[in-house]
Amino acid sequence: MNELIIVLIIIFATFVSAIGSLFLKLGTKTLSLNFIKLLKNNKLILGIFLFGVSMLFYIWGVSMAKLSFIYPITSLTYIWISLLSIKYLNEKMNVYKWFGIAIIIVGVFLITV
Amino acid sequence: MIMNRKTPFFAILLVVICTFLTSSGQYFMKMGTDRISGTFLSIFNIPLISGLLLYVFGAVLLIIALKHGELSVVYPFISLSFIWVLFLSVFLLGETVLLINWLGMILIVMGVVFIGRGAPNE
Repeated sequence: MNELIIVLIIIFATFVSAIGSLFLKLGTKTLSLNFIKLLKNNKLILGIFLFGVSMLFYIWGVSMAKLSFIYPITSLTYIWISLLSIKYLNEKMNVYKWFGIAIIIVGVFLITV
Repeated sequence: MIMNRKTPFFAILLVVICTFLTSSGQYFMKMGTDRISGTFLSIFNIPLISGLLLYVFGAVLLIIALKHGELSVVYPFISLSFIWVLFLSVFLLGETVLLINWLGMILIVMGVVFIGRGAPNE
């Protein structure tokens, strides 16, 4: 399959994974040890579901290309998470966090080369 | 003093442990899938089941960490999985690892240190 399409599939997977993590975080606000309440925690369930969906797309992408090609793209998730956190979780980014993410992305690229 | 931070140290500790558990879990699950033969029962082998349990337990720790910490601080620590997998490849699988891979590991560690440093206070 066309390399560009594989890249797009993985980018889509990273975005779904980030949204899933966002819902996971939102779901932990009402986290309880009560099993019934856990099952009713819609955001938590949705977060886990979206994470599962992203895994499926990820596995699909990995079946078509080398891991060393795919892994660096997955570090896009960190950027999505930072942006989503600012917009929906009222979290603040700063120079330290952005720089940390930047060198993590470079590190992921080098570690999988 | 530690609890004044929006992401307490113990949340970071939880996610670090989580990455170790999910990476080991994945290793055992991979080992387990290699043992799947023709029979249906071969799916329920020890490495696969224990790998799955490790993975799930790691995920539970991550959820608890997210309850107490910021997403934008906790999540980048998941990149530590790459480091556990690197050690695994070298010491358990005997794979060749280049110097540039070790450099990548150092950068990831530096990166999460910066993220931790950048985690804001209340």
